[in-house]
Amino acid sequence: MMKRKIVARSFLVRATALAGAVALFATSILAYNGSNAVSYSDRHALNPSYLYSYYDGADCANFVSQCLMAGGMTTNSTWTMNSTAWINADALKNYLRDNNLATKIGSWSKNGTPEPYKTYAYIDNSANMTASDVGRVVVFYDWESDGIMNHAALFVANNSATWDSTADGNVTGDLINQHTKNRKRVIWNADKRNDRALYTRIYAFRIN
Amino acid sequence: MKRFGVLLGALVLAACCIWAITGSTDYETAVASGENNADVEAAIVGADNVILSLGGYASESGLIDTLSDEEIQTQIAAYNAQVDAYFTEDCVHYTNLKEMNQYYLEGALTGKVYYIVSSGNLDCKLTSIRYTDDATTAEANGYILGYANHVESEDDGGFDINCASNLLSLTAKLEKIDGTWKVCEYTYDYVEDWVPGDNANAASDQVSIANIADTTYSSFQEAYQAASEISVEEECTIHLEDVVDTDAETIVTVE
Repeated sequence: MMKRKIVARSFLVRATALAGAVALFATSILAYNGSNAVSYSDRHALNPSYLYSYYDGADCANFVSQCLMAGGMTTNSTWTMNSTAWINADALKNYLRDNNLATKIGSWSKNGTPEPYKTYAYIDNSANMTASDVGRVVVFYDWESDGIMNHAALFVANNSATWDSTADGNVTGDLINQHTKNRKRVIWNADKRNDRALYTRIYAFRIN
Repeated sequence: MKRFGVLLGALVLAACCIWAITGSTDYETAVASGENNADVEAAIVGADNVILSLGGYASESGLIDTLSDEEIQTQIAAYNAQVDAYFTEDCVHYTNLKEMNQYYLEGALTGKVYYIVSSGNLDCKLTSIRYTDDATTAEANGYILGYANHVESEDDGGFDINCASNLLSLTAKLEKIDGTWKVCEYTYDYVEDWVPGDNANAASDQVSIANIADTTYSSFQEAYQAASEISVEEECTIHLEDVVDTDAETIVTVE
């Protein structure tokens, strides 16, 4: 009788743990919605939300973090409003990668670069991202080719016309939204508006 | 006699104190002199110029392919000399810039035109400089405005002009080596950018400049000529005054 009770309790504990794990997995995988991230991003690319701090001159990662949260990514003690992982591009990349929340899907530069941070030349304005990646890919920029990310943006449209033909030219391609400088639906590689494009490396991480 | 000894001791002590105070003041004044500040700024501007000229080469055809191996090596050596002049050997940019420039000039740019017509710095304002008390290292913060104007071949066989100017916020660490300031750390972020046509209006010359930049040219020489006509110094509509008080004194501290 006693033995049966112990077995039943043990089964209950295991079932509860399994259910919890499944719920946690489902929350992290199914809850993220790229469309919601894009909607928020489009709404606040040029008009920063008053609900959040605005880091004048350095708001890129803060903005991307807001978009990810709008998409359903849950905060925690490491990645929470105004934390380093929230507002710093390199820390955000490390947080997403190290916690298995995102996976690197590509690395590019103007004409390709050698190791240790190898990148491939972008041939046109396409990063070869798909419609299913919209709102799910964070693009990181390493301005100084030293492996440390300096800037972040959210991928919001694939193979579409830029909204800023002055900055990009009359072209189509993969588009991003970003803060600092605040831009909406512009070409992801910033090629035309970057005076040191040859020294810039770009990385894309897809939310898992 | 004893009183004389005490008096003498007091005098010596006072003299030491006066020497220490005035000497220290002179020293700090020397460290924070305008000359040092100007040299630090010149080193940062020089280092930034080296970054902006990465991948640059001289070729009448616009193609690096038409240069001999010897000519390419000469151009690589010239670039390396610039890196040596402005960066310390342990700086991450020292290795990166040399390796990447060699990578571009020895192969990655083969078969295509990526020709820098002009590049450089339009303005720089250091808001603060902090020296160590031995005056051999310094850390500076500020803003720098640079540009690069280049001709690029397109897949369809035409040639485009890409001209961009960027205002950056910067942090730099420098070391004084054999009397020369060199950059050992340099990080920056983009604050504002300009391309020909930004803020253009019908009454502005920028409309014609924007047209130049939007045109695809059939030959390199034609594009080169048009790019040469863009005066970024005169046309660029972003200025340091937009983000920082350029008249304010640079805050100089010695630690």
